[in-house]
Amino acid sequence: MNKVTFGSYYHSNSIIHKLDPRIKIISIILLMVGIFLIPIEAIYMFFILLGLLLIFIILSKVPFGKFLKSIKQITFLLLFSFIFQIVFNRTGTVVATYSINISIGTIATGVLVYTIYAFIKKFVKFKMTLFFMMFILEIIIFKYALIDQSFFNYSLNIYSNGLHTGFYILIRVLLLVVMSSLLTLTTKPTDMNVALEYLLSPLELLKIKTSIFAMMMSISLRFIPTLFLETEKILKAQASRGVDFKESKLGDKIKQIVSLLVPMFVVSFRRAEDLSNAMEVRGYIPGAKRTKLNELKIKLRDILSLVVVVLLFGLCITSLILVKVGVL
Amino acid sequence: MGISFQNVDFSYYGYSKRKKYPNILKDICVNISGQSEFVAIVGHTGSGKTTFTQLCNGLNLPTSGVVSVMDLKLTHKFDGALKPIRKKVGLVFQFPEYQLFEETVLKDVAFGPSNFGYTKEESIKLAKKYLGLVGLSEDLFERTPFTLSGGQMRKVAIAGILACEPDVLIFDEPTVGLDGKSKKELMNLLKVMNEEYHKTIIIVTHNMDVVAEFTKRVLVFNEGSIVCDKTPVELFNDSKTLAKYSLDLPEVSRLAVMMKEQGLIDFDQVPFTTLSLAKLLGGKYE
Repeated sequence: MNKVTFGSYYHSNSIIHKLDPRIKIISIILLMVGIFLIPIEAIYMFFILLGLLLIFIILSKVPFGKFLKSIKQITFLLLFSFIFQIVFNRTGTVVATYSINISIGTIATGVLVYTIYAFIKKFVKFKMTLFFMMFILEIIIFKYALIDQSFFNYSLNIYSNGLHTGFYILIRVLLLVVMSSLLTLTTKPTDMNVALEYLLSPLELLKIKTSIFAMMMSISLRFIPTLFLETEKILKAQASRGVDFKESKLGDKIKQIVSLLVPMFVVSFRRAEDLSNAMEVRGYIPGAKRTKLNELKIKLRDILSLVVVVLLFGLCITSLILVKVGVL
Repeated sequence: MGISFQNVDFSYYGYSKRKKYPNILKDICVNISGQSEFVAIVGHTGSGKTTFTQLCNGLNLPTSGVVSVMDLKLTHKFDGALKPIRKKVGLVFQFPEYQLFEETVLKDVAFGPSNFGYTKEESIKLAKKYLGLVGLSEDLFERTPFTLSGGQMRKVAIAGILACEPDVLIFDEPTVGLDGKSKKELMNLLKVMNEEYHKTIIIVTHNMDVVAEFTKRVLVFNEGSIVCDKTPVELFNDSKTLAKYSLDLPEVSRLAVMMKEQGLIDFDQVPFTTLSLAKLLGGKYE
């Protein structure tokens, strides 16, 4: 039953893990705003940020693969925005020209390559790599392997600004993703929750009870794995009554989903009721002042890291001002 | 026919050639016939009892080895339809009342049979039959299951499995959380199913009195293996095994042993059921 894990927290005992979660959240927000302030002319700023981020990652002792995994999730978005810029941005000077010949011969070879890919992909594990290899092969085919008369000729010009902007967007999104995964990988969901409660506490002045929301958040985080287990149990119980999601007709499927949903609701309501009673018995009053078991304290390392982040933020603003004034 | 386990290993991490995961069940070999057996499964929490029951009807597939259920061989590669197995082997979970969902009791019980291909009328007929058998009065048939008491809800849930008419019935701690009267009714129902309908009944239990009184065979689980496969009388006479796996004697036997120590009665064979103690005491109890 260890399948159910929530969040991406990676346990370690590094300096980054020990930092105050409030400081971490503030730093991430500052850096994110900073990234958006950096103008395209000051693209080298990104490399400074990237270098610092690398140092943070090494300090956090989180394996590199964890970050790659979060990048992998947005590969499509990154590639799409990059290719979009290259194809449609037509300012600046022409850097390269690609001519694509479309003929019956090239289409046929393209289809052939795709069929081979579809056939091989069942047997190999590195599907993504294989796909890219085939993709490149196809580009080469479309460019050079002109077997018969081409009936359509398309030439794609790549402009310098398109390349520039595409790269600018790519690295910006990459930085944002790595930064936010650094936060979630090194901060426990519960700590994050406590920190959010602190940071949102000014809202109490507007008569919004942030402590209640924080409690709600932590309870729901706590109960996600429990409800997962409960669902699995009910699923199995209904399976022994002949519920089979794989093989039944659509009409039956709807009924079978109901047979899962109703018990789920019953169980969660019961749990909620029991929990609220248990909390009340132990003296919980919504919105009342509570003391904390783990009081967050700002230490020297927190202040130091905040100073570093504020300096970086300042650097971002300076680069913006310098570009706007026209110095750079 | 029946259920047979051949060198079955099971791990919740699934099958893997390269890595060796800790197994919940280790090298299980056991045969349970599909007719008229009454088997008790005892053992500590976490000894693999529940996992074993879930292997019996294909809810879990073995990591290695073969589970044969009614001529169907289940291995880690099995990819066929599991429905026929679930039709033959009915599994009643712990706290089965959580599986109720329909608007009326009758509809809920008929849900199982209709899934297994019975027509609407047949399902309702089966539902009525088994609701009667578990002893639920007819005026409750049209009630919403959620308004029933805990004991009644459990009866409905059990009827829901019985109505699928499986050959083998597996109960995971059926008497937990029931009052004395309901407990007795439930166990008598199982006895009827076993003796009159010739069903094989497998129960997971911690209650040794139930084991002594009703079952004909006991499987003792310890850390994922079956360490003992005997009749209840043989097991309770084997004080070494009992001590080794810290199993209790039935309450009745403990009482009898205590009475012997006090010099109140004398016997060579410890009585394991209420009836045998009563016979010992009075000699004329019928």
